[in-house]
Amino acid sequence: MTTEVIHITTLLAATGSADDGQTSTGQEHPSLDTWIAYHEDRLPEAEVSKLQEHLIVCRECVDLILEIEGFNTPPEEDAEGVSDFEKAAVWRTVQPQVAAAAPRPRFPMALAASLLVGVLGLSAWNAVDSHREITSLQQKVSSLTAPQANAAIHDLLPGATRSLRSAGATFEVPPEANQFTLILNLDRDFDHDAYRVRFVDTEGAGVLEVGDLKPIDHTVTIGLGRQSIEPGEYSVELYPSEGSATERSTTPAETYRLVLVYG
Amino acid sequence: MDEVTRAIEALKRGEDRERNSRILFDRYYGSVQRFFAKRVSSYEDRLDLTQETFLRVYRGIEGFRGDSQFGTWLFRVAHNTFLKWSMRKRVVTTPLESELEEGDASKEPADTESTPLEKTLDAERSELLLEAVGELPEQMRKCTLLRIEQDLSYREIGAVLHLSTETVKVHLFQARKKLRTSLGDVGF
Repeated sequence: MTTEVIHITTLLAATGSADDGQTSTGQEHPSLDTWIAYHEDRLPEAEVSKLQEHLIVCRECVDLILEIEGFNTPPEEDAEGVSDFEKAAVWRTVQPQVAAAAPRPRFPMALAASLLVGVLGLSAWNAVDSHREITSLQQKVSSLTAPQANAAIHDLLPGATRSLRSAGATFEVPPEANQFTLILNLDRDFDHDAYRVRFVDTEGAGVLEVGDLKPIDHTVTIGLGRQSIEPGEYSVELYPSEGSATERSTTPAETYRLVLVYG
Repeated sequence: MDEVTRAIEALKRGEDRERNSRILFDRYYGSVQRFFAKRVSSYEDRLDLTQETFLRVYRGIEGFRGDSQFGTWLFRVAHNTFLKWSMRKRVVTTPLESELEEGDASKEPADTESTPLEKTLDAERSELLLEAVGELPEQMRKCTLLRIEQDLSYREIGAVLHLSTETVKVHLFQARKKLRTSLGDVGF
């Protein structure tokens, strides 16, 4: 039997029916569980016989057995001593609490609830994750586009082409700067509407080309980012951008030297 | 499947809670009410305990696996409700029946009015009767003693010994016959 064992003496003591858990003849009262097992005919014959001998001399246990029996008596024999008024009053109190007294959700309900929680959790996690990605991109864009107090700007003069070691050729981009600006100073004789600029590394390979640059006051401004070009030594070639691709000049109008260093 | 079993199964599934709860309430209210009436003198406390018992039943209906009769399970719920209440209240109540018995002087007039000779004869008769009853077959003896010692009805004897009322009647009829033969009129 796995149910709670409550000795009959507890009940009898609580009701004042027994002083020390013994019958008037000094016998020990069997436990409530024993009587329930007796009532349900779950005991061996020898124990049944012993319990019945106890019943002959113990009114308390007889009453208990009759009470358990009474709980299983068909309703037509059960109406004795019941006040309809009192019964209705109790039901009026119980009725509103019936819905609130619902048992715990059964397994399928619990499973459904768990799945729902899981799905919501994953959605929330995804949402958080997506939000993180978006936030990260936004931060990146924002950091790339935000105005910088000490923007890195470097002027390249045609004269610098003569010596790569000259101060004018080296551009050290500060650590806090993701973007930087190159200003190419043009010869006063240049009067083209637009230019293109080609960055050529020390091995003669073009690594970056920027077109359609409008000159302003004999200067061409190129905005660059750390992601767009590697640090290194370059030859910056300036070409007029007029004409078709086949008509393009292969000889630069001007060449600048640049040593790009990322701090 | 009877109405109560259907109501229990439906409650376990959470179907039509009010209607099925009412079926169980109607069927078992009397038993629960009598259980507490026997143990608790306060009317309000009795109503509270009865109400609490039914709410516990509705809440814990899934705990009823059907291994025993539902009435027995409900008895346990009522019993546990009462024990918890007793411990909380730390009040030891006296069964009303005991109070009535103690206060009812008419229960014992025969003893006070008996003469010493009558008392001696009664005691001798009782001793002879019990001796003769002890000679009866086991079930017959138990039926007879529950009738004499506990003053139980045929139905109650049957309930206590797991016998039908008819079987109890037959046992007691046979017992009377046997005891009359050995003792004369036995008076039960």
